[in-house]
Amino acid sequence: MLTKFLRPFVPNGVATSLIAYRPLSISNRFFQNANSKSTSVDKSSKTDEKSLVGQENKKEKALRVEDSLKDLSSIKWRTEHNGKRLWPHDQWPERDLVNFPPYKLREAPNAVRWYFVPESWFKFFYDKTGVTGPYMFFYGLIIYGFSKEYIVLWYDFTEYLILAAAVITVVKKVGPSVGDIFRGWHQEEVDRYTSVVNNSKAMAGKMLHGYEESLSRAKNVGQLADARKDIINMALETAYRDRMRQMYEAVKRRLDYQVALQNARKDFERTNMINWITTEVKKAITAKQEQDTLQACLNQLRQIAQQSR
Amino acid sequence: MGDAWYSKTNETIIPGNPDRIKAKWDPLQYLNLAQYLKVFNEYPRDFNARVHGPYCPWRYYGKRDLHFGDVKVGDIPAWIARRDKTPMGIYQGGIRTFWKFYRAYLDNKRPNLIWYTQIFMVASLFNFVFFAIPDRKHYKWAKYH
Repeated sequence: MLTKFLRPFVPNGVATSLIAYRPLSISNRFFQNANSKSTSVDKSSKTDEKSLVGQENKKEKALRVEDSLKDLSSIKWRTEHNGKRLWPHDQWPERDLVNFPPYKLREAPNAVRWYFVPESWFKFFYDKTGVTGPYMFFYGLIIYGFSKEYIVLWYDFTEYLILAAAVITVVKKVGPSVGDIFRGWHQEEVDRYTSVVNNSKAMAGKMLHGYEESLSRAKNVGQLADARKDIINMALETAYRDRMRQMYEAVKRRLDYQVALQNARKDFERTNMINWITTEVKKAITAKQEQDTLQACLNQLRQIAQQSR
Repeated sequence: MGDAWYSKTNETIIPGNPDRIKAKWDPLQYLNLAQYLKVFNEYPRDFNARVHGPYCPWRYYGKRDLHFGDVKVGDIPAWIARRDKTPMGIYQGGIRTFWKFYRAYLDNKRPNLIWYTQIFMVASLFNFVFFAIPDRKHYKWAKYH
């Protein structure tokens, strides 16, 4: 209940009269008239200053998370800034993303030469000393140490030399493998966290694929029905044509019969007539006529023979 | 009297009052040493979350100044004069140095042991200069170099 009467946290150097506030919910509007000190509505600057005077000491109290969780209407959002309307999702127009970009996890550590000298030092000295500057510096340092006997060449120097050589050899040979093994262990653990979201995404994709397939199948059902309709129509047409053919053949058979019948009749009449005529003629030929025609033919032959000689 | 670790007011002991349970699993949290270290546990003065976003301890949020590599040799005293040499400023600079080192070598996806090597080399150098050279002064082959 006390949080309803708290002023919101205002950063230093911002005039409260320039900021307009709006609560998230209307639950505290019912208490406006009950307590004159509440500032839950956009008010003119006159009332802001009045309420400032009454609650100066309360402004110093920090808002606690527990208070805001108990009563979400105590969260105040800005509604305008420099004359521009601000929405709940866009409350930070002063954010400078150019000079202060958001935090990003880096991929690899800074580059390094000889396992302890950063590359930035080499780049810094490149303009002044060239490529060999830092190398010459460290070699010169070592030589200075020998020459001034800061590095004393005593009998234990051999041990240090061999130790350095051994360490460097071991690190060069074994280092990358050990790093990969450790990174593999770490990557397994990271995968256990990230695979949850990736697997959900993959499952969602699979389900969407199934939905798309069922949708296409639903579309193809229409084509299937059309195909069945076409098949049935084609069968109907086949039957229709078959029956037309049958009709045609039946009618043709009957007509051919009639034609054959007429032809047979005519044929019979003709043959009968010819036979009758020939038999009658043959019957009418007497024996005397036969002898006379024979003599006439013989005489003609004799004449022809006389002529041809 | 209020509540201390050895005595509590009656109000706080009423059953059903979750705020009375001040125990925490982590002993450091329970001891609540942060109340004594509040001075060191605050944001720098120039940090404004509305402008700068979430706080990055390796960044300097004051007025932008030249990098030490870009400053000319003659301007070094003026450059040093512009720095914040108060104890709080030095403390914050040290914190920033540490976080820069952390971000350079440890805050990435493929860390290695270069950070260890660098610390080892610096420690070796310190030991060599201040402890090993005095120990070996007796074993020098020549007196004057």
